[in-house]
Amino acid sequence: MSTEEHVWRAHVVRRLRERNRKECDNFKEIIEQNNRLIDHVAQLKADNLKISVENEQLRNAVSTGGTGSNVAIATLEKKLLSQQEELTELHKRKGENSQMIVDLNQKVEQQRIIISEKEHSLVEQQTNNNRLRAEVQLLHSSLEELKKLNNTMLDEHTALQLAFSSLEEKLRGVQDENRRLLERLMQYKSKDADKLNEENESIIRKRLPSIFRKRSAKLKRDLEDAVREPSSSSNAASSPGAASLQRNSSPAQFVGGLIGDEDFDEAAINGAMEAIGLDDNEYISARFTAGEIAENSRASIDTLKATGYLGQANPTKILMKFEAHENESHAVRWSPVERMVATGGADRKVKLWDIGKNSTEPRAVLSGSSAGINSVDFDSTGAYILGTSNDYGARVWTVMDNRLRHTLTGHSGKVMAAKYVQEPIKVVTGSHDRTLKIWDLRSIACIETKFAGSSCNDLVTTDSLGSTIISGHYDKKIRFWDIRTEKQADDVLMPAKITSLDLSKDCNYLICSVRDDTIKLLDLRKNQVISTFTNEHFKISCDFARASFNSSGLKIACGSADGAIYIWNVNGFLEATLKGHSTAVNAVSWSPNNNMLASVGKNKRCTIYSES
Amino acid sequence: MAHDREVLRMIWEGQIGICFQADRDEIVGIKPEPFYLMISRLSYLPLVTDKVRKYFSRYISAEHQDGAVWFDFNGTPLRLHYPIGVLYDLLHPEEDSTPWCLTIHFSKFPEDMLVKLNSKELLESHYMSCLKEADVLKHRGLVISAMQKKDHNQLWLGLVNEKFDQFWAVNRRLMEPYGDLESFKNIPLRIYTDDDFTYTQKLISPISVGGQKKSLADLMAELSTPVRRAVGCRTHGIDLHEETQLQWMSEHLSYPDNFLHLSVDYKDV
Repeated sequence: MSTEEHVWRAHVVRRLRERNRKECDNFKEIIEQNNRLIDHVAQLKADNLKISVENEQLRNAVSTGGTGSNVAIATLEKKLLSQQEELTELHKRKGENSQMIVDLNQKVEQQRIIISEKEHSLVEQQTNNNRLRAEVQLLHSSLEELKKLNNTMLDEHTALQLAFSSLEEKLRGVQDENRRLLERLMQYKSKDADKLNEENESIIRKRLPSIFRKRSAKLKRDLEDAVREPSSSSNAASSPGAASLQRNSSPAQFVGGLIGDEDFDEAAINGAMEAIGLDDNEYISARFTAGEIAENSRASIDTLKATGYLGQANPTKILMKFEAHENESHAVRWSPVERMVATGGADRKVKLWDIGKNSTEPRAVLSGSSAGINSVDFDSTGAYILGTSNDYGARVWTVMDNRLRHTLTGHSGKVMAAKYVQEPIKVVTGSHDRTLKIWDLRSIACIETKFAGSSCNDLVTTDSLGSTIISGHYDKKIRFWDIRTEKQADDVLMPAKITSLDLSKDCNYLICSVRDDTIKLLDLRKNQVISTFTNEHFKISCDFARASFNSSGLKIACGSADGAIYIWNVNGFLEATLKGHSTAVNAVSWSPNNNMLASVGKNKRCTIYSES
Repeated sequence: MAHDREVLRMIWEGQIGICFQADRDEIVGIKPEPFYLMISRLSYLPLVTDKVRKYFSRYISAEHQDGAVWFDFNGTPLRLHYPIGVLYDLLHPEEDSTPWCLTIHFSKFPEDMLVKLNSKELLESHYMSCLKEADVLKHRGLVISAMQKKDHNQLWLGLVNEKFDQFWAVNRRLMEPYGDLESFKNIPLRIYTDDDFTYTQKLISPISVGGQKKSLADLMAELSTPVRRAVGCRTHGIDLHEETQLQWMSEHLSYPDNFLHLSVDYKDV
């Protein structure tokens, strides 16, 4: 056992030694040396690097100047570094504070902006509120205006319907009148033929040549009218409106001619009445006087004057003469309280004149009218003046300060006359639109419209009869209106169209100038004509020629187409004929306090007459 | 039994001279010099090549600094979990007396052929696994399981630090028969026949049926087949006498993982 074990163990040991020699011993030493060399090289490289670093540091130390200064420099650098850090910290803090300030400023700015926006919004809301309120108020006003306009239009509609009805009636009346006028024209023409035959007989006898000339003039006028009628017919074909107007004017001309003939007959009748009147006067004067009775009228007039029956002398002397207007003058009126005259003319103005003892001074010019003035009138106190105009309006001025107070518009034709009804509240106006309107000056509104049916040329008012209005019209009628009853009370027919009206102071007598060249005197208590005044030379100058009572109501004055002014006694006889105007006289007015007479005519002039 | 310390120390102190060279494809810049190193036969490549790695890292690109390191010999990758002595005996020509030239690589790890051992803990686990397997064959695992954790650590640290006395102070108990027995129950061994690193393990008892101790000749007879016959056996770089006892071989010629790594030559009949 031990021998056997020995053999294989020895074999193992021997083999192991051989392995070691072959695998290790040959190059173990050299490999170990190689490793040492490699390690040595690495070590040397590391040492070299360290020494280089130290060398660099030493070189830096030498350049900075020694160990002691290095320590000091290090200390200073440390201090400097700490100071710099502190400075940096402070800068940072400053920056933060600045940023905080900027942020706060931004916040303040934002708040300010918000506040301004709020204020702006508030202002805007207030503006909107005010605007809406204004709108509401405006709408309310508009609503009120629309309501008023609606009422006005309804009223106008009613008025137009009434006007239409009256126009239809008027048209039928005019056509009937035309037919009757033609019949009368035929009759008068045959009568003229008969008279011509008589004149031929009288020519043979060569008596009354003036009558012959008069007839020749009438015949010539008739022929002109006959010639004019066909031309108006042709115009009617082209223009119906104008035709209707011309038809309205053509009958007037025919009426004028016919009135002329009728005047002749009535003149004869009046002559007889005058004779009777004279006889009565002579009888009366004979009873009152112890003198002898004269036969001719001149002698009887002188006798009456001498006996003092009339009580006042006539104004026969021209006191003064001045140019009142730029062209034709239409109206004149004395003031009721002072020596002042108001005139109205075609130059669209109302003028006031102070009448001195021997001179006239212009006082004021009242303007506002757009067309010629037709009439002027004072109220009873003389504070207000009424003027009517062709511009379809009437106006009220104050005399003291010459200011236009009211303008009364609503008529659809020329306004010919205006009068106070209830001073100083109500005014009545008459117009060519065939209506009368009553106005309330407090509300400056028309409170009533009366449909007369014919153009109104003049009107008067009286308070004694309980607010009665009397109007004179184109259709030859004088109409009486009671304001309280809203209807026409009565009317009186005249032989021709009315040109003017005037009342006596006691309101018992009415005179009217009629286009047949006569002046009628009516007793208002009986509504009857009690007297007629005329003269062979007296001619109505125009459709609105004005006649006038004097203040005592005993004399009547009226201008004539021949430029003279005729004064009659209410008892029927002519007292005076005043010369001075070179053209037709349109209007006259007696002074209420003095025996003076003012007159205006077509020649722009105003003439004042006084007693001699 | 007598423990032959001479043989144990000669086995422990066995070294191999290795020349490490860099892979030309990975070098950036100048070509480095080869690195020569004496390595213990009982150790493992990852445990002893830290210095080599550090030396060659300076010459490669930065992107490969963290790559897994592996080695090859003439194109054959070397298994990192085999003892270095086993690798040398299998690959190195016997007649060549120059150092063993290996090529070090930092990239392109051959995943299909090698097991990646990125850290030493993994290698330690492998070592401990081999110890336990060997003890199961020898003592049914009773000795290794009776040891404390510190004893296991002492075995590993002794191997890593190449401390003979520290290692054998504990390994001695693993090399003694258990109780009153005279031998191990089985011999832990691995038989390598070719150079492809594959091995065979068989249950080989150190005692024959007749009660006598088996020798290497008996092992050869057991390993022979009708078609081929085992004719020689090498381990630790030496061939063995056919009369060497298996029990003694296991006690004195085992590697530190307690396995006999035998390279057997066959001859066709």
